[in-house]
Amino acid sequence: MASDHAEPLVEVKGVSKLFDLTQGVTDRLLGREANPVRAVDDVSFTINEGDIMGIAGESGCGKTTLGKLLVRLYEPTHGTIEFDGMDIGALTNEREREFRKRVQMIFQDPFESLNPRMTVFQSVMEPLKINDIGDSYHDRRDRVKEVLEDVGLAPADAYLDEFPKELSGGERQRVAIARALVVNPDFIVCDEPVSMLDVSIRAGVLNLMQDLQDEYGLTYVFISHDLSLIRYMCDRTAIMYLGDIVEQGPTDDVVMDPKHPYTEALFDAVPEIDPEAERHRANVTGEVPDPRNPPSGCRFHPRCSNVIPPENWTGSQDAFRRTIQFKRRVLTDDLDPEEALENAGRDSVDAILERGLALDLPEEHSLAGEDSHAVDPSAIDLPSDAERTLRRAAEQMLDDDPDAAAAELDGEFVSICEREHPEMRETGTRVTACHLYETEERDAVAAPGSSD
Amino acid sequence: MSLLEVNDLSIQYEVDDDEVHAVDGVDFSIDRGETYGFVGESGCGKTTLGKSLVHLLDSNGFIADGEIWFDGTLPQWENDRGEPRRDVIENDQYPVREDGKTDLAQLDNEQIRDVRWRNIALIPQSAMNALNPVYKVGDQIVEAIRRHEPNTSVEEADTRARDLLERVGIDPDRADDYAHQFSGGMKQRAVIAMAMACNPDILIADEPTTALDVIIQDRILDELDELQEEFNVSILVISHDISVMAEICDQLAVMYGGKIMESGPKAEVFQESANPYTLGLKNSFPTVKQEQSELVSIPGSPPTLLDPDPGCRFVDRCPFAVDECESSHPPMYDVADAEGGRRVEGDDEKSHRSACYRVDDLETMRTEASKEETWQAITQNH
Ligand SMILES: Nc1ncnc2c1ncn2[C@@H]1O[C@H](COP(=O)(O)OP(=O)(O)O)[C@@H](O)[C@H]1O
Ligand code: SF4
Ligand code: SF4
Ligand SMILES: [Mg+2]
Repeated sequence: MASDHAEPLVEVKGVSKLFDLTQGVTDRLLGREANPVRAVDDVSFTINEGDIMGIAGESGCGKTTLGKLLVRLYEPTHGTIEFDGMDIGALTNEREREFRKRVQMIFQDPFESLNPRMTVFQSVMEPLKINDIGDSYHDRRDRVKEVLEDVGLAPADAYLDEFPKELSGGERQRVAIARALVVNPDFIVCDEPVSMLDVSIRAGVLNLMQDLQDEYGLTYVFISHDLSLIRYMCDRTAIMYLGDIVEQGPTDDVVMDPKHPYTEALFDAVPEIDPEAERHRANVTGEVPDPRNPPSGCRFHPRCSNVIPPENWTGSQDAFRRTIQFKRRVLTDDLDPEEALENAGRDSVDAILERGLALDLPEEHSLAGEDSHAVDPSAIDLPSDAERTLRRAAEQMLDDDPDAAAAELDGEFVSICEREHPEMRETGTRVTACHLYETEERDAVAAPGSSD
Repeated sequence: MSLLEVNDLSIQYEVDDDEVHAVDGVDFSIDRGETYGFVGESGCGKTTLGKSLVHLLDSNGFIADGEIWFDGTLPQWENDRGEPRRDVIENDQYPVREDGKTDLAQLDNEQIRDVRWRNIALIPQSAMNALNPVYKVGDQIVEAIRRHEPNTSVEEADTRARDLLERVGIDPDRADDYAHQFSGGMKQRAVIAMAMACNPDILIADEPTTALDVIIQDRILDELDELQEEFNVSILVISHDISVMAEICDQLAVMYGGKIMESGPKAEVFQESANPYTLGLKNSFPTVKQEQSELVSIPGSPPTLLDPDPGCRFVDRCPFAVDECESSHPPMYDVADAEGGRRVEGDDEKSHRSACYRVDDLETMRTEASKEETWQAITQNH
């Protein structure tokens, strides 16, 4: 567990990782340039000695890339990572060997790290050979047996000559852990280490990892998409979204009192096992966008329930959220006037507004009578000038001039969230990247959690 | 009256010269508009069970025993009012009962095709990956509708496809998009829309959210809820995820090694669990927002279903096993009686039941099962 006067073991400073992808099929068809993916984007954090640091987020948000950067399976495109005071991108050969021994990684699929043609003994002994540890075959064999028993594969003799395919999923993952531990490392990055395992087996592996932490004095990074596992295992947690860390802090605080709107949505979405638990569905629209073409400013702004209206906006925040969604749909050609007209037997401009301002949200967050395809505009607190602009755009769409409609809206209704990428700021026990917490003066804006 | 009544259903797979007993003597019944869940770890027979109801088993799988009574019958066996004809009911050649239910287990391949989709639709595990990426999604739904209702015109089917997409929260004009342009959540919605195409009475959803991220899962669960409200469809949902089940089911059955270990109203199964396996499963499952307590795993691993031993399926991993447990797998006992210390078989499929010889000693089991030592003791015995 974390102690108060912990020493930093790993310091990540402004690290980014870009992948240059070759054009995909769709790009070729559409004649699009392939954008590099910013898998990890200017991320900074510290891992203290003896901590378990959780990294959570939806698939594709950059968790595994970050994990591989930490163990130097990838080189960062920008930034530096220091391990125990050494810049791991500039190690001497000797230091490099030391690093390879002190830092290990465990993967989701033990098949990935276990050679199917090697016995348990061979697999676990291999790192000793590579790192030139142990004086004799007997030395190494004893060490392997000791580690196997440490990971709960006892008696070790019964496992030494088995091949991976002869083991159960839980046993295979224990062998993978033994292989990481055998060289007596200080730091282990675990990437979804139990997600292939059945529930009844999982708990055993998690508890084992906790026990080994004490026994071996380990520091872990624990990567998982499963937030209940993060809660169970981690002292501190970082939440990632599209390559950014959007919030980090002590796990209990992040879970029970999230500051960032994305963190809040993420935890709202987790089903509760207690049938009496009060449950809110996540107040978030759409899905994670294509990482090759991420939104400007705050990457989360097109989905965010708290997106901040500009100073001169006189309507409600909800009306602003709907207005920028209308704008985005027109700009991305995602609002089909014909479809809108078909569905409403009334004035056509109204029909487009009805459709374009509707948010696809669970019922508890919708306006009365709203579904994902229509909302009554008169129920929305839209300023009259904004409504006029939207109506003009709708008319242009009806005139079959989507470019004029786009021009009408482009540059209008610009939120700071769309314009500026939020910096990481300290907010209580947390560090959060969200404009809501940027300046003290902005306290007029309701932050998540403060309203209920 | 129940919509589906399954009695003593056993499904086997033939492998070389052996039989895999994937589902073994399972009883349950589903009411109209109800969500019935099967929860269990991988390989316990959930998928097999779901597929068997509409005869979609792999070619080496077969219904070895049991009945699947569905409240409805084939079009050709109905009278003008859509009820089973008298002569059909009275003639033993037809698997139709006095109460109008038909035994799906006895239908041949030709006949079951009329039931699939029209009465019972299956969303297979990973169905969303089965969408053809280079076909328009709308066309795939149209094709599905016309395969089951050849008399529907393309235009009619197309209108219906768009309407269905809209109902599951997808813009109807997205019907003209290719499946590869759909995100994971949209694919899953499209697959649900497709399953609803012929307005079935029962929707079987096998791991409907397993491959999805948590926010999308949240929306899909919401969607299933809404569909159920709108169409009063019964949902048979299969999942390994206890918390998903806790959220959406009315009734729940906990499966282990091809058997139902415990079943009944969801809240009772969760809050007054009466079976060692359920108790163990709950111990090993972390929750995100509740007080964090130490997780306890169940030692050992699930049994092989190849020619299983006669005893209780859980006996190798059960800390409460006694000699009787080796003799045969326990029947389903009534939990209400067991709470009073009586061990009586329960024949009401909707009530809380548990397959365990030691149900009459419930309090001890519940207390002991919450302790880590109880489960560790088993490791030492093996
Ligand atoms: N085609 C098949 N041939 C042989 N065994 C099978 C086949 N399909 C499934 N099984 C076996 O049947 C059992 C139940 O499998 P399944 O129904 O897929 O379980 P679940 O859906 O609960 O994971 C398992 O032991 C599995 O290995
Ligand atoms: S910066 Fe703006 S859009 Fe981003 S999370 Fe904060 S409020 Fe939402
Ligand atoms: S019948 Fe015996 S082995 Fe089976 S669950 Fe009950 S006590 Fe355990
Ligand atoms: Mg399955």
